Amino acid sequence: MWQRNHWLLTAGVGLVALLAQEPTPWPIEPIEGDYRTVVLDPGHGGADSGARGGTGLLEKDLVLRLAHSLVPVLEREGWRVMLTRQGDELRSFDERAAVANAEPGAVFLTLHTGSTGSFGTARVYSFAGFAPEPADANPRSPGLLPWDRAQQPYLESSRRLAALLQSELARRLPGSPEAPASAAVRQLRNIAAPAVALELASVAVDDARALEALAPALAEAIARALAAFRAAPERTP
Amino acid sequence: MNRALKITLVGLAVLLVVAAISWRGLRQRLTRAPSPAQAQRALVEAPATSPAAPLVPVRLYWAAPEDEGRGRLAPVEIQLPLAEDPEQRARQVLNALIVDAPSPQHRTLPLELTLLAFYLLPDGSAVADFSHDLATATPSGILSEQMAVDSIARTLEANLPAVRRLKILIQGQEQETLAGHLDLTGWIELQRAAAP
Repeated sequence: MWQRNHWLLTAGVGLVALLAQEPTPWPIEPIEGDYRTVVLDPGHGGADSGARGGTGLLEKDLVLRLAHSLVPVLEREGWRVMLTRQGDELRSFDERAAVANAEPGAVFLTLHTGSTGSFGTARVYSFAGFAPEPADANPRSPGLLPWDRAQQPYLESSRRLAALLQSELARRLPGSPEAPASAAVRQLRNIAAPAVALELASVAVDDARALEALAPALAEAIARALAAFRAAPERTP
Repeated sequence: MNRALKITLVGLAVLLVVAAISWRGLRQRLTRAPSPAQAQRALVEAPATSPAAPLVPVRLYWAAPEDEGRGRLAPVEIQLPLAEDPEQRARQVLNALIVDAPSPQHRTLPLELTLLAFYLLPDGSAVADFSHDLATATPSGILSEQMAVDSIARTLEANLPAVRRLKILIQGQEQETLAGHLDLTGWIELQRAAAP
């Protein structure tokens, strides 16, 4: 009888201890080293033109053409390539994120052309990071990743990818910075995958063809950076 | 010359004199009229400090013109008669950041921008509410939007020790992005150590 009660007591204490445990903060581990899909995101689209140049160049058109030109180059390198939009349609930030988040082993690259910056230079950004969660935040259920903080577990791998890509761009597009930057780019925040933004300067150019002429150098830089990232995703460049 | 012609000529001369006087007055009024942005700023800007308020060195972060296109901010020190009240002081400093840029190359925020309100809570959380020009007149792009936000954040870091974090609103509303790229939904944590 005593023995039976002892076992019941032990099991009860164990159960209470188990329930009292803090949930693991980030139970979902990023997939490292098994990247096979590139999700290319031509920014803006539809009613959202993005940056607008003095001669009427629109960011949404330029980045779509750039994205289409990248597809065959990356496919030749063995990547499966997905676009978040095929034509001039508006997709929400969440719809674009959903494309990458539903794809295991994806790498996300959002393409932009800014209004400022020296012509022909390119900058790469990883997400700037998240403010600490408030102390009174509801405890998170294990296995769940908050949508608005989905990038958090991938920040380190995104920084590695950004460094590789910025280094390749600096070699091919003179004047580009050597080191990547971080910024609170809205599109990156809820991507559950390594994710970077690339901004090419700029729509202020008179002729779109001058920017489109940079596409081969851009494609080569992206292809080399992705190959290096896939080969050694853990190593800091 | 008959009488009717004389009367007509005199009438025309009087009309010409009246028109010239009216035109001069209208021109003077037009040249003196403030732009809509100036008028809005005059309505909401911080009350003027007393003439006796001491001049205080203020560090404002604008784009470094020698690094044009590279996205670097550099501090410029100016003297302002600042109020004691931190909220009023923040409004003065941010208004100077908008209107006092030494050149267009220094500018990180559109000249027509107006700071509608600035609130500082006891825990160091600050809310800056800007006019819609922040979204519509800031050049769209990651680099330009980040420079706009960083210049505001670093200027507050350098001059308002009580501000720990910042929320940017546009016309009283939270916006998803500044001009299509930079996330404005969260709080911007000020890194006090970063301000030289």
